[in-house]
Amino acid sequence: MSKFGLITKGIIKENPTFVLVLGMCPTLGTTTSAINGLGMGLATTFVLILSNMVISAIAGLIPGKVRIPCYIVVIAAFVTVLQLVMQAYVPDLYATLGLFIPLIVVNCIVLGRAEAFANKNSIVDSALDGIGIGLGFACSLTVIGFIREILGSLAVFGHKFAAADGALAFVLAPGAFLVLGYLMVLFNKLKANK
Amino acid sequence: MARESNFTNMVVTLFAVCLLASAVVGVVYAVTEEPIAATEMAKTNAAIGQVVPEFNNTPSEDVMDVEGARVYPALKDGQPVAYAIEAVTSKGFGGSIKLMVGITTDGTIHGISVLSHSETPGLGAKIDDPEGIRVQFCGKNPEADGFKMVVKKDGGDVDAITASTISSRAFCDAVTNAYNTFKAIAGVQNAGTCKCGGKHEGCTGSCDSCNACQECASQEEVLPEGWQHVCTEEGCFYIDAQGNRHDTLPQAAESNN
Amino acid sequence: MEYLIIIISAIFVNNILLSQFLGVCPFLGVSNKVSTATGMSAAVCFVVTIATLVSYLVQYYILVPLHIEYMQTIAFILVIAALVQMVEIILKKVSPALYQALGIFLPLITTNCVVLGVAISVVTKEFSFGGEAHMLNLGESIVYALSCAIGYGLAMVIFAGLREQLDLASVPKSFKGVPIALITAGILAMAFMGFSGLV
Repeated sequence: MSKFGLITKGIIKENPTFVLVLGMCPTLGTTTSAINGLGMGLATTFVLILSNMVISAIAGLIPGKVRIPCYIVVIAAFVTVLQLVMQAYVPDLYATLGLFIPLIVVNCIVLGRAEAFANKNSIVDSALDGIGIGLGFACSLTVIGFIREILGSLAVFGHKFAAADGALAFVLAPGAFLVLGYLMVLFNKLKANK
Repeated sequence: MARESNFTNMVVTLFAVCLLASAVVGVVYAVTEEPIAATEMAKTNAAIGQVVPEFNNTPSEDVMDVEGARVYPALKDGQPVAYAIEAVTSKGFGGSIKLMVGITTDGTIHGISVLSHSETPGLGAKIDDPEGIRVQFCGKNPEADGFKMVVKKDGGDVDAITASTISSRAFCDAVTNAYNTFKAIAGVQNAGTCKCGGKHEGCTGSCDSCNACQECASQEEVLPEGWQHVCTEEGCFYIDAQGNRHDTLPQAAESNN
Repeated sequence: MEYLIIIISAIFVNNILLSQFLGVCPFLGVSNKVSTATGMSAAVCFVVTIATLVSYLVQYYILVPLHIEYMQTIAFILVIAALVQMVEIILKKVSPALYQALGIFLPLITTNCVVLGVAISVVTKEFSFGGEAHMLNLGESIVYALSCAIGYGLAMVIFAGLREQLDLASVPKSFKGVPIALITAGILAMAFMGFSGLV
């Protein structure tokens, strides 16, 4: 696959949310607004790129039986780094995303890419794969957040376009499931028509 | 690809990976410790700026501790114009709610800013709406206007947020806590000056009718410049030029005199 | 009384799956059949409770005294991973029957965010169960963890039952599989919203 293909595949062909159906917890939990979705997507991308690179570099040195614990430790270290950096520079976003930042450790996308791609490819390819999948994830989260924000709080990227209250259900839990479900239907339909 | 696994290399690898990971995290922690503190300080200062009228000191440097609450005095040319009071309530729907409440020296609520909360998004979280519940408090003087900081359901004057009575009650509770803290400060600040040279809560300036004055007037002491002696029923304490409370006089001042 | 409120609140009002979105991946993955959903739920209950107990002790007796609370994420995930392995080994030796039932779910649990999520929540978040908000003590933490896991299991078993019926229904092609499952989950979440305000 070409280098460019590695970056773009995550957006449609191997979209982690709509096609691979991975990392559902943050997808549902943090997309109350477009900004939150984007923030969560970028935070995951950060961890994904760095952990992919490091795991690709050390994969040859690690005995097969303990590889998963080693990968988890690497990922957890980068997540902690991310937590500290976010606390220092974007404390408001950190407070909003809350529990879901440490939970990036157990996001199946990150460990999934380590196991499926990074441990058998070069550092550069792994980094590009991290960027591609990460951006795909960030895009999906932003789209879901965008839709939930419009329906739930009548706002676009935090700017209200109508004074009234939105349909509250879309900000709360049920809306997350429904919006993601219907978006997947749409995605399947578009893919079938191609 | 992956190496052959045996006991030694598994233990060594896991140990090395953990050690390296901890080292990296430790270094990043050391590097970000300062920016994290600075960001928190900036956030506090921004909240203070929102809730009090114009001032020209740095309130976070003059912070004082009044009955366990943090109070940031806003001074203009050395004179206090308002106090930004950090108030907490644990009666929120999802947990504690932390507010910064600005109260001017005459007892009027000037502004309120939400520092942290964990209320339900779209419902109780509306306490953080700049045009929301907080507007009802601004410009009100609970004592002079008889403004009751309780939701209407409970016989007060505050319109609760629709479908979020618990969050609204908690918000009122936090503002009331802040106001009580203010009264504790004002009680000392506005008291009459005793013959002992200090001020204390509830004293009108006539020391004959005040037990605390009677007691402390017998004590002869020289106060450092700008310091005040405050007597209360429970005992005496001191307030320095910056408004900080001390239980004893500083050693240096005593030896100088 | 307080414990009762914790139990009701964690199972129904703030259901960890349907209102806090933890553990959705295995929820969608293994909820095709009631029997597998039950097995997974039992394994989660078991691991969440032990993991919360151990990480609570790690937090208050190791991390806090050493002032390295920022190591929390790494420490907890290591504890959980080790614990899951250990439970697997012990179960294999002590009760092969139980291992037969839960064994295949155990490796999946390390990356189930319910476990890490509950462990982190109890030591970082304040909870208010109808009264004053406070940090949970050890007893409350364990009751909370177990209740969360029971709530998770309940949602999962109900959902698996729905999905078994759904298989028999004729569903439009583009809705098949995950999309219809998510929409069903949305409606189930709406039903659980009815519990809010209960405590």
